[in-house]
Amino acid sequence: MNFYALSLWLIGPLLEALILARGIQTGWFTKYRAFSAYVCCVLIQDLLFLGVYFLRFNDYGWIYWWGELFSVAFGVGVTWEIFGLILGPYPGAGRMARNVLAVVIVVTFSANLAEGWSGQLLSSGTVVELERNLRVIQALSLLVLAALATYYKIPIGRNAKGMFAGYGIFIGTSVITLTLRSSLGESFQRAWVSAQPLCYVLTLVIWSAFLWKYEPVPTVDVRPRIEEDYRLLALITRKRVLQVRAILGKATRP
Amino acid sequence: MLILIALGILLIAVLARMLWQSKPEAKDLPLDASCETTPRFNSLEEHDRVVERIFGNEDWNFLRHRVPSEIRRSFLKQRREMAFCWLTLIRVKAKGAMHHHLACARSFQSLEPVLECRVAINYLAFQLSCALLAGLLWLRGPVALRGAVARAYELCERLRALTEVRWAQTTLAAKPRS
Repeated sequence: MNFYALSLWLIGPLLEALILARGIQTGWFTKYRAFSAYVCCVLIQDLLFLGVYFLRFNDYGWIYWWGELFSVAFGVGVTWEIFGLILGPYPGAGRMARNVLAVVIVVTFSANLAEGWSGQLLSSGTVVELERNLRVIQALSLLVLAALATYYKIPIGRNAKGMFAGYGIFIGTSVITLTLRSSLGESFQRAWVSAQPLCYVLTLVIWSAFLWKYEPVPTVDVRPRIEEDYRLLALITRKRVLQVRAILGKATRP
Repeated sequence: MLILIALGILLIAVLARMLWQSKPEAKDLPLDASCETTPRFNSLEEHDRVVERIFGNEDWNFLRHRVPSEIRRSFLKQRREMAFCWLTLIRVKAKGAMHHHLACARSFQSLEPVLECRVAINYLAFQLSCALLAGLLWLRGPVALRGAVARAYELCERLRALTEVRWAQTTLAAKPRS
C-alpha cells in the first residue's frame, strides 16, 4: 500500500470520529438516529478493516465485501431518514414520492427482467454486482427525492441538505465505480482502489461541513388557506393554467 | 453499463447543484393565490383588445407606406418589446397559480398523484407554448407572427387534404373488385 492510499484510509476514520464527536457535542446525534448509527458502523468497520489488513491480510477480501453489504443495509436506514426529514412535514409530497418510487422500482425490475437472461442491467452474479444493484435502487430513490424537493420547492435544513448531498454523492460515485469494477474487472481494480476512498472522503468532508452544528429542518406554515379539498385545488389550478394558455392562443390566431 | 454510469453522474450533478445553490425559501411559494394571479387588466375584453393591438396588423398597415424606414424599424422594435412584456406577464400569472397550487398540494394528505401529474402536464404544455411563442416572436416579431401562423395553418390544411386524397386512392386500389 502506498502513502496516498494509506493516508486516504486513515483520513476516513478520523473524519468519522470528528463527525460523531460534533454530533454528540451539538446534540444531533440522538436526533438523526439512523445517520448516527451509520457513521458509528462505518467507523467500527474502518478500524476493523485496518486491523485485518495489517494482521490477517488473507481474510481481508471476504471480510471487506461482507462489511460493505452490512454498510449498505445501514445505508438504507440513512435513505429512509433523509426521506423522513425532508418530506415528513409535507404529507402530500410524501404520498407523491411513494407513488413515483413504486413506479420507478417496478420499471427498474421490469427492465431487469427484460434484459433478463443475459443479465446485463441488474444481475446479481457476484457480491460486487449485488452491492451495485442495491446502490442503484438507493440512487433512484434519492433522485426521486431530489426531483420532488425541487418541484415542490421544499425548504431543506442545512443538516438534512448535507446528509442528503453527501450520501447521494457517495451513492452516485459508488454506482459509477462499482459498475466499472463489475464490467471491466481486474483492469479497473487499481483505479478503483484510489477512486473509491477519495469519493468517500469527499462525502465525509461534506458531512463535516454541513453537520458541524445542529440546525433543524425549517418549519413552515404548511396549512393551506383554502378549504381542505385537494381535488378542488387541482381543478382550479388546471382551469387557471388552461385559461392562461387560451389567452396565449389569441396572440397567434390569425 | 452506460445507463448506470449516467444514473450515477445525474445524481452527483443534481446534488452538487443543490449544495451550491442558495436555500429555497418558503416565501418562494405564495400561499395567497390573489397576489400573483390577479389580472392587471380590468376585464377579459380589455385584455383581448390589448392582445389585438399588440399582435394585430392595423397600426402597421397604417404606418408602413406613410413613414420613413427608421420609424418603421422603431415601431417594429417597440412592438416586439411590448409583446415580450405581455408574454412575461402571462408567464407570471401562470407561475403564480402553479406556485399557489404546489404550496397547498404538498401538504394535502389526500393528494391524488394522477391528478397532480395532469396539472404538471398542463403547466409543462403551457411553458412549451410560451417558449414556442417567444421563439416565433424573436424570429418574426409580433406583427408578422399572425401571418406566419396563418401560412402554417394553410400549409397544414393542404398537407391534410393531400394525405386524405392519397389515403382514399390507396383504399380504393386495395378494395377487391366485386
